Amino acid sequence: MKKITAGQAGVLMFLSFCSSKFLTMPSAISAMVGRDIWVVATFAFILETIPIYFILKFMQKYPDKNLKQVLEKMTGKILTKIIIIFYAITFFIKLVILSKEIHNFLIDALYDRVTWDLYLIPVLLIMGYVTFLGLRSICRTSQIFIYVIVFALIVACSIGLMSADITNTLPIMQNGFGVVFHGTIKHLFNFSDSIILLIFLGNVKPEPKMAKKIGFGIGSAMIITIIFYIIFNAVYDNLSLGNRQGIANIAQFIPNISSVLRLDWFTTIIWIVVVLLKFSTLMYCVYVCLLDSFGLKNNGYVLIGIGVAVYLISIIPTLNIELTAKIFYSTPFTIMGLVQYVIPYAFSIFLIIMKKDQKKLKRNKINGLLISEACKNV
Amino acid sequence: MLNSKKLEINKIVFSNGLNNCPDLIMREFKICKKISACLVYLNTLVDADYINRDIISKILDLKDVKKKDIFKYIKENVISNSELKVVELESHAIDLILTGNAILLIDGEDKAIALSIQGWKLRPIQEPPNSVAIKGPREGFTEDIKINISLLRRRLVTPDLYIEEKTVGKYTKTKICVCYINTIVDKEIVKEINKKLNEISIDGIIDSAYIQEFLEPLNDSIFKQSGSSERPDVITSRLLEGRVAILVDGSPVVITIPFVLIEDFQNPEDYYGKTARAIFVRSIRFIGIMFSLFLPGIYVSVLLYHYRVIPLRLLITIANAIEGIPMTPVIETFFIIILFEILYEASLRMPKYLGMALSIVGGIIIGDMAIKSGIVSPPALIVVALSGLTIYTAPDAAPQLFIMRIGFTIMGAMLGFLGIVLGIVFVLARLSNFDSYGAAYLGPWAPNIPSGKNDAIVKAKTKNMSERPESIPNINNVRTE
Amino acid sequence: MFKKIFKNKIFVCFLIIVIMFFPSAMFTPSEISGRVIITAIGIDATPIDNQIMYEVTVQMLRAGGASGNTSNNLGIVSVTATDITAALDLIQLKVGKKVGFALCKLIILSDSVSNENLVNVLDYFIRSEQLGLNTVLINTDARAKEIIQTSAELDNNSSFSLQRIMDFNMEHINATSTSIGDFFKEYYCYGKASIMAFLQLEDIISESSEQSSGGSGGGAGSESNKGSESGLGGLGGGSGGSGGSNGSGGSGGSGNESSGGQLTDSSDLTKKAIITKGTLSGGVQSSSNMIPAVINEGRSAVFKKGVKAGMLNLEQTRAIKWLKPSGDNRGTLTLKNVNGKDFHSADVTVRVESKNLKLKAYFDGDIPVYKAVVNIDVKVLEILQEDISIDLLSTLRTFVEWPLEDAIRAQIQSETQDIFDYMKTNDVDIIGACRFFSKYQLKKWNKYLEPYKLGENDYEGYLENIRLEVEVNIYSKY
Repeated sequence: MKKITAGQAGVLMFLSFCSSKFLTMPSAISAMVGRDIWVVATFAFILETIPIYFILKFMQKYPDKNLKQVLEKMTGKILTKIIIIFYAITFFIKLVILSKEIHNFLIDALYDRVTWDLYLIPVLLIMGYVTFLGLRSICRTSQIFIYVIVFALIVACSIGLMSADITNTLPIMQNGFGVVFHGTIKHLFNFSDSIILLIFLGNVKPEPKMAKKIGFGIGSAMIITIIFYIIFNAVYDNLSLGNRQGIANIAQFIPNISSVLRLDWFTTIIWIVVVLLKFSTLMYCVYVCLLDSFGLKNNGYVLIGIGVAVYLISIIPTLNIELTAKIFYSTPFTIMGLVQYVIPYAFSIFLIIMKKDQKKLKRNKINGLLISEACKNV
Repeated sequence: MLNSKKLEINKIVFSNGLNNCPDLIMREFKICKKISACLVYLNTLVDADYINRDIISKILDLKDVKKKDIFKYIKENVISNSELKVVELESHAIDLILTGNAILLIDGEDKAIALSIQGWKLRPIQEPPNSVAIKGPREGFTEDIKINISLLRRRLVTPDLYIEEKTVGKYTKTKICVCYINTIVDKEIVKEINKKLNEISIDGIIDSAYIQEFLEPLNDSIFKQSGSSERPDVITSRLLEGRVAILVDGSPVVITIPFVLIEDFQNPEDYYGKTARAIFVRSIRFIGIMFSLFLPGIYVSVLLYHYRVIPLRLLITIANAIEGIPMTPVIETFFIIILFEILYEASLRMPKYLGMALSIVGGIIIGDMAIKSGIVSPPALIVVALSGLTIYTAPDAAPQLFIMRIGFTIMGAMLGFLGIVLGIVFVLARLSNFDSYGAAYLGPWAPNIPSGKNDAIVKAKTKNMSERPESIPNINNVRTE
Repeated sequence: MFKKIFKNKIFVCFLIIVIMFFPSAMFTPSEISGRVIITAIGIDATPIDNQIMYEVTVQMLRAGGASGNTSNNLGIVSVTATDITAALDLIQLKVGKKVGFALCKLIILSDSVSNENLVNVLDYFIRSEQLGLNTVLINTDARAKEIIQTSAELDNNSSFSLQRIMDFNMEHINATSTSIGDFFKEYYCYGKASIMAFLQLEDIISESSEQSSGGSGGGAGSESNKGSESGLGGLGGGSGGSGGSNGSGGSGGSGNESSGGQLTDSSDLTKKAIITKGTLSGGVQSSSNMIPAVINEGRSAVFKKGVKAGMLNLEQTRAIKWLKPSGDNRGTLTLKNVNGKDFHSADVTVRVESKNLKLKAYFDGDIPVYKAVVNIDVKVLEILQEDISIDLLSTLRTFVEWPLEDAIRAQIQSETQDIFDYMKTNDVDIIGACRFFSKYQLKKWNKYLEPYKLGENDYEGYLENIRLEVEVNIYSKY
């Protein structure tokens, strides 16, 4: 398994964090909390920062340990398998929801009609192939696109700023903190892209500033998301809940030159790239989790199986994105969600345990040395 | 040791060995009026004047030399040829005759003297036609490997320039030279190349392109995995970056390995002028390549799926232009692409004196009349023509660009912008996974190699490029002290 | 050979994708020819048998004309149905193509439609992913169908003149954009009030015996008002002119009283940008011809709770810019009977070069105060008085000093008070005062609003106690 550099990991985390948060999420959150979408995002990111910190610290200290090894050490083999299967299902749910999001995005932003039953096949084939090439390939592809993506983000935000009234974000928490908190919890699943970091464990080349580089990528994504949400709210005010495709719609507002030039298609196309890269990343996460949980080796058939499963669920005609989310948020999956949130936080404890273990090892080594010295003297 | 010391028998052996070919000459004469000798050569390969002047006449001038010393005497005192070998095997001697040597057989000796007196006609050193620089050297490689080596030697005045010679090809016995700078190159690359060359089993090597196929790891890929150039200045600079150059006798094209994609977008002229101009030109080249790859695909997908991205006035112009065209956008675009390629091929092969007339036929009659008769629309023609022309901003990459252009047009026609994006992601993912002899194909962008970006699209000043690009593996990345 | 090709999995997958999609893509005609591309929509309502029937008129792109003359590229289709969706279906049937709204920038709503809740009428459009939120709404007292027909028959790209008028209005007259997005934003806000651009259709007499036309369609005819000629913020080139005397002409012709040109610097406030229905493809018209003309007088329609509640004239519309920060809003101020350093009882016109508006919301006890601090740069354009001294022609005299400053302040305060009184009288919060107070004084404002609450997000009469304060600071440039 070819390892990736910290910079590549940072870039991929940046894209994974940004991608789906610029599509339907602003309008979905706005339906619950009104104007405070950026407050919800801020709270959600603050909640995520804590486990991210511990995971990165763990990564820096123990770069060779992957998730399976860590969990086996801490929880035993059987529980590890269960947890990893849960993660596989979590990633799979995200993948299906993302597939629906791509469908909606294409219909709203670019196409008049998309027969998703057919269009999904080349998407799955090509992104499946990219996944099969490995994490390094996905990361390298992201590295090529990152400059254009950041430029597109800047363009979208700048265009939005031109017709934004920042005071539209006021008053903050008009309906009270309770509503905002409830909204944060409700959408925590959509915000929880930090669990992708768990798949990077053991796959990043050790280097001195590894944690900082990855942390920078994640931090930048958080900041840009919050800025975008502020601008989105400033532009649309109370109509935020009706604008499904944030990044696509916001670039329409170029005063006076829209009859000559339209930049919304530029941001839309770049965003398709971002979303497809996240699609590939999530597919990879499911793939790795399944391989680890069932002890399989690099196997293209597993990927084919994942692709078929995504396809079958995505084409069920009555399933739309809201219904999919509802089903997947129901009770059995809530239990799984708990696991999803607990494990990243548990890394704080894992760090302490690993540290103790290391001290023990050191002590044993020293004792061993002393004993052998003593034996020599004897 | 030759089979026999007798001259007559050796003559028969050589005659049979060369199948009594009509250009085989066996010039017999007597040394010191008593010892029989014979000079065997192919008169189509040697310099006859030299033989007459410097070999036969000098030998015939000999007086009073003992028979037992004659061989040594002639070898050391008579023949002034700079490349003189003693040959003991008939097969070796025959090979030497076939490469322009003359073999001197002396009666009573079981050895022969081989004299290198090649005298065939060579093309003079000229500027390569497909790699022209307005400013900079005008020399180009020729088909003779010796001249090519001399061109390199003159530029790399260092004993660290290693040249390893091999012979490949059962019938052509083509000489191949592997050149590298020993203190810079990664030895693993040299080892790998030598291994691959040694494994070649083929009847003949006509051109360096034959060797390329053996050296490239992914033969089925449309992307080339080795660089090539006909310019000695380019090969020199690539050797200085840690690459290995492979010269093939009979071909003016020199191969370099490893290869990174950015090489095809670099032009020697970028280094012979102002840096600002080089940056500007490279950016234009990059934009041109984007046009060539994506313009037809974008045009087709916009017409079929995404009319909404076109501003209204442009839409009116396009709508009026395509009104009444009998073909669908996809068929029309492919029709024009095929037409364009036919014209291109025809213009390459047509006799020069017909060029003017046929270019009028191609350009005016076919192009203009096609529009006036309503067979094709002007926007489609402009799009395809522009994309066809801009391919040649990077002529080295033209074959790949052409195929990819078709691919992206097909993807755009099938799936619109989504198809084009999927195509881009697929190509980039595939290329990013590929390492050419340890060099990341898409370096310096993927993986991110900051030192490599000094000479990518933005070119730094030569004096600021103090390190060799890490995209190419090397053991010494400091250029300047 | 085939075995080797089919061993390559990537090639096989590509082949599968090509086989699935390429045959149909190859024979798919372009979307432009397969779709009705709508550039403007007009909606009228007629009660028929106790049921409201909507007459939807669309201006659509029609390929086949010469590119330079866009009047040949526009077609009109009109249908009547019970709702918008049904009407659009009928249009699709009629034309035989699907409709496409992506390039539609105008929706014209006649008074017949505006007298009911427009939110119901526009519901289809706000949900459509194709239609952008910056699509402009226009209200008219004529039939929307006639407006569209009239504008479609013009030449030199002036079929988009309506759009250009609206852009011009937004920049130079209105203080607020009247797009569909803003209409819905205001509707779902506290005050539920918004304004919309207003155009009217009038028959004007064309007295010219010979209409020269630069193409089909006309330029702008002239009005008899002094210096009133205005182009339409960019309507074609020289569209303010007319060939011959009044009436339509080729673009760029010179009229008698018409000077063509832009709206910005005209001195008379009765601005009339006229689009006339000219002759088609040249030709001679007989004299005394009545031709319909779309008139833009800079007026606005006021909507409350989605229903038309009144009209604002040009002065009132422009006055909103002193109370609402959006828009460029330069324009001019005419001051009557002013005394200055070197002039007496003169009519002075100044141009507002730039405007910086700071709004403050605070409570003076229990009274909410809406304070506008207006910082403007002005330049004197015109001084009209008898016996003008030569000193007044000096370029140094373009700056503004007391007592002209006072006159400007008074003028602005009067305009703002006028519009504010209108708002109070008609209970239309067109400046969004409620929203503004809720941003900065939420608690106190909520307390203030309690007695005015009618329902969820529905308040009435809260403007009555709001006090307006306007502070004007004038800076002047040479």
